[in-house]
Amino acid sequence: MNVDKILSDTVAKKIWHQYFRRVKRCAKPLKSNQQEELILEIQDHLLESFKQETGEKEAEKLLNAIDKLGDPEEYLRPMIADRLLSSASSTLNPKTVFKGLYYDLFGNIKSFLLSLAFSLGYLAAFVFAVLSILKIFFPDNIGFFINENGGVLVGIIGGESLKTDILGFWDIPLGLLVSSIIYLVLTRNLKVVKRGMTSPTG
Amino acid sequence: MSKKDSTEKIGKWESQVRKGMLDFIILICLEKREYYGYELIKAIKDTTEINVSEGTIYPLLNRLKNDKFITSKWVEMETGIPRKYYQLTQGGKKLLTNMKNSWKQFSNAVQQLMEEQ
Repeated sequence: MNVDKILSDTVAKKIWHQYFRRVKRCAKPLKSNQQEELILEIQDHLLESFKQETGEKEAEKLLNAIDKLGDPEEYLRPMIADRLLSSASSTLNPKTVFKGLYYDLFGNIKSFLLSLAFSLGYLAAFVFAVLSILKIFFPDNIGFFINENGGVLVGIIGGESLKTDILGFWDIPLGLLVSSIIYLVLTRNLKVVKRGMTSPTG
Repeated sequence: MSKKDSTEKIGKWESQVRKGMLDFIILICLEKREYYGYELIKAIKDTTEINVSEGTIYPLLNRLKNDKFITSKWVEMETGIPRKYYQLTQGGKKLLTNMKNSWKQFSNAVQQLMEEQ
């Protein structure tokens, strides 16, 4: 949209560009076509609202319209988190998962708690995967052991000399399998997080 | 409770009720005809006096669209700037019918409760 055709006042133009720099920054995690559509829609809204404003100074009218529309950082966050989580749920792309959870983390308390719970689940999946790989290098210290008193020890174990490694190198495929299952279950159920997301109803 | 406190409390409660109905109100509006974002928020504000930041309508529209209750299309305007119009899908129509029934049941129940007292 060529704003120069619509606004003549340089201050108003500056305000417009500043606002849409913020919108663009917020929309960055989205795909380029989604970014473009979102920006066009917000531009259309702001322009319509600007036209409805009464007053003489363009800058003042634009500021009023912006005030009614709100901060893009606030109103776009739930929308972007929603789109990212929808995309993550179908593509299983970890980058999109974490971006979506990050965007959702700062919504309302419910979305914060749900995002936090899912993040901890992903952390567990990551720990299982890392431990499985480290088992190759530290076979005597990582795994599923039983010590001399019959106690069960799981994870990174040091200083216990008399312990029995129950699974041996089976820890590796099993750990990777558990990690994958946790990741798949969490990612396919990201809609739970979406349901708890911020809405205008608070 | 002073008169001022009571007015404030009612104002807050009304605002919460109205905001909680936004999804329902959006669907009701879209049942009649298609709307674009600004037009929709204006229609909602004018009829319900809901005072929300206008931007909050977009995450709601986005979610309704993701859930396939509404759909959107771009329409090229005379000014050359495309405009995004939203309309109700068959799923949205079904949801709205169910919401209307629930609303009727709920409001009747509340009405009955008030009349009993």
